[in-house]
Amino acid sequence: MKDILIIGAGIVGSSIAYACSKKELDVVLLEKNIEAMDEVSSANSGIVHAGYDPEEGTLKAKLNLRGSRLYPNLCRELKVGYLNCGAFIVATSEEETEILETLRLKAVQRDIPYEILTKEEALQQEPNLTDQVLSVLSFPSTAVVTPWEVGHAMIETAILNQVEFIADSEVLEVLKIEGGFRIITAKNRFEAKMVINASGLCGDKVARLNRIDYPNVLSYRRGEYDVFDRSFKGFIDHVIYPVPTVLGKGVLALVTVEGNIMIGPNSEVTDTPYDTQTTAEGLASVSQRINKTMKNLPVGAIIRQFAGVRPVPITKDFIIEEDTPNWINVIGIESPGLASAPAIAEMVMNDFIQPKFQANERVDYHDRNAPIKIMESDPLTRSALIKENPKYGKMVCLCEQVSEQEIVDCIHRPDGARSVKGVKKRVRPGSGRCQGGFCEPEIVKILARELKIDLSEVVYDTINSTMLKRKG
Amino acid sequence: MRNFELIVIGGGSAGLAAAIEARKQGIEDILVLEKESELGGILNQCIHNGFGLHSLKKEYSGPAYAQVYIDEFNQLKIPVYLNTTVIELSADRQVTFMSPEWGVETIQAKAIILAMGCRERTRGAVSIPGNRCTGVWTAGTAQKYLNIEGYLVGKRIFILGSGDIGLIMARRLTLAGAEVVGVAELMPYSNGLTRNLVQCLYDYDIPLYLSTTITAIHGKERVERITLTQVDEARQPIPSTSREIEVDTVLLSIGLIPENTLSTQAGIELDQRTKGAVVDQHYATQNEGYFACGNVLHVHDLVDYVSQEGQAAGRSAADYIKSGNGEGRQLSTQAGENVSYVVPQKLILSATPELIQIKFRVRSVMKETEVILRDQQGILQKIAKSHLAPAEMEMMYLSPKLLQQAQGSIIVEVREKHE
Repeated sequence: MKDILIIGAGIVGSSIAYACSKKELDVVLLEKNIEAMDEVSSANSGIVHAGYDPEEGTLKAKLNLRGSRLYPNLCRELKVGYLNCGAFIVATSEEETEILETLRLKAVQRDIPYEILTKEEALQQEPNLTDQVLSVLSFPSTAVVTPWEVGHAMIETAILNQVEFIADSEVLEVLKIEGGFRIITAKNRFEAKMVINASGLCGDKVARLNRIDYPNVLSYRRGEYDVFDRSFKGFIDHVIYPVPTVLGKGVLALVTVEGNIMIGPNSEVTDTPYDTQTTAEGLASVSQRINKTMKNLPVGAIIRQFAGVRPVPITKDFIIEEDTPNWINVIGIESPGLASAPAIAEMVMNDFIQPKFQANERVDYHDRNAPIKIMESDPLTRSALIKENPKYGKMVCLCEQVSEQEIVDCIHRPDGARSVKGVKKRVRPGSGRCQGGFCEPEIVKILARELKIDLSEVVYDTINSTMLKRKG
Repeated sequence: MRNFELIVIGGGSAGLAAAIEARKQGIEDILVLEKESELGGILNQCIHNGFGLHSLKKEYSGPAYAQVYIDEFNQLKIPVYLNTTVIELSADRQVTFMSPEWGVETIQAKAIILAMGCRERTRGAVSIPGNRCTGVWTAGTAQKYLNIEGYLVGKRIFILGSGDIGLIMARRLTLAGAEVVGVAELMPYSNGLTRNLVQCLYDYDIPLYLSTTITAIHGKERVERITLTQVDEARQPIPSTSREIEVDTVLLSIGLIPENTLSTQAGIELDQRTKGAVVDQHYATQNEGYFACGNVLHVHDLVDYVSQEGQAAGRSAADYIKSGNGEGRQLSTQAGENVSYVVPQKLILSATPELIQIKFRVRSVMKETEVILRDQQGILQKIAKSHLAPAEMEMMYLSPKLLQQAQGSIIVEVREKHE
């Protein structure tokens, strides 16, 4: 019998698995899709918020602040990107300047560093801010990460440290047995003493597999974004927020670790949580509302749109609870979920896992090796790598400068890519200005070769998303 | 650092012609850098006929046309690095490349010819909303899958854009066994060559919906349906005309964009209209030692003219290597009424009597026209031309003697002739 079974390998489930892997625990992590980090965690703003925003007394407030402080070290251990870009909240009226003051007070209360900038100072640092800026509340501790990079690194490290990770494993049935639970998927059955439900969008439905009368606690909101070509890196250096309203944080201008600028999200209620479509109205709303804080946006440089759906808990706060003995729900994780993830894992470990298991530290715990990124190596290392393995010298994705071997590597690492989108998320081909126009056929060929399947069996993202048919 | 007299970036139709001509003009020390595993560029996947009608007086397929030049290239023993990608380009002509065989190296050139071709405009660039499931490709990518790899991208296909690549693929996919349900074109007329409209759509009974666009693409794990909507004179969708069509594949043939990322890195001045470099009639850019030709300079419709342009650039680069920059008064050209762009953007007036070739495209289909060349003071030249279309690049020949009198900018404009 396993100690712990985690349902859902989004940022929350992966963080919990990662935390567990540092202890002597027997853990299995299940993911419904063929790739982890593919739903809420794959389509959001990527911000590690400073922690000033959530309402006092909430889990959100406590865990965001704690998470924000854990992130730098976490990213160092995982060997993933962390960009401490800072945030600007831009006031364009007297009324808004007053709201900035309430945020400032929250920051003081929570010991979060801040700065107040005049119009001149703000424009000097960010010349593309709107000319209507009156003052800016700056939060230097805001950062951005690439959520799936963090998640995949956590899963990989967990696998290296004895956590079993199984994708394509939707949980269909849960039975109570002596000492724990039997969890049944289409291909497997597991027994575990404790189950952690971190299943994201279907959080309350999975909770119902355990307790039939678990209520519907989730509604859903969809947010749409535009992504700009990486060549406009430096257009802004901070995450730019409008002053928040009751409706939320508003439409932001975002920076990313890789250098793409993004704008979004809007926020639309949806009752189809798996439908991540963009809409003409949503995108128009984003383009229009961004003008409140920005000017000179290079709209000709937009290369892509995307949308993400997040679960909205009825309680307006994270739902982290032991619903029945040893069944832990960690659901309703909306913003600031990404920022809070390491602290959520810490809380689950301290409040639920350790009281039961009192597990020792894993003696042979080790971090993963950083993936080789050929263009980030210095010229001498690059030449040596290519000499040893010529596939590091064959550029497959020209827009993002990714070599063949990096693609091969990402397929064969633990938690390796199984799809075209999986390759894209791990090493970037398809994320650039040509959007895979040149490189997608090469990615498909490499996947087919490395997975020993035909090109017609290569999938784009989900299990049935085959792309091609043999001619004739 | 190794030095070369001439480096050609790109071994497709433009680069091949340029390198061949430079060698014929006596430049020994040439290196062509090509990212694919063979020369020929995009021609390698264009297995249809129609190449070489003008220049070679015979109809070739893309690969066969390329082979004519590759054979000559090989005969001349011009050095080429295949599978080699240029990763950095500097203003002072240092080229950093990466290759499985050659590793990473930075080399210095006396002259560089940019011949990188172009990329396709994508769904994201025009913001077609909906789901982002598989089943949506640019036409060129679908062409690569079919003609190089032997795979069909789908069974029931709709094509957005009646540019040549879309038309060619409509026929190609039909012949390969797919059902091409229709082609939609945003403009009230097609952008493709007339012969392609006939041979690819009319001959196969594939409907062409003008003044129509795709306003949404939907599907779960694969495209399932599209929303087709008519547009008004301002090319804005008319919502009441929307209808849904069930398809499993969408191909986009909505434009080509010269691939000038490296050029921008090297500080090459670009023309916002062509998205390619600003050049003079010798295909020299405004940046010392840099030349540009082919699709990276402006999007062509006939490869014959790409080869011709490449040849001209090769010759100019050779002249530059041998005797430096030419002298002469400089004039600018300007796209006037009804003209979307003019190449070259600069004219160098020298003592030589050779006619100067300029190329331009009109903004809309025009029947009987007068092409007018004028400067601030008045009309310099007038030529009658009939049946002009944005899809078909026009050429004109200007006499230097005429231009000697000109001041400032030469404006090229096209007026419809009225009875």
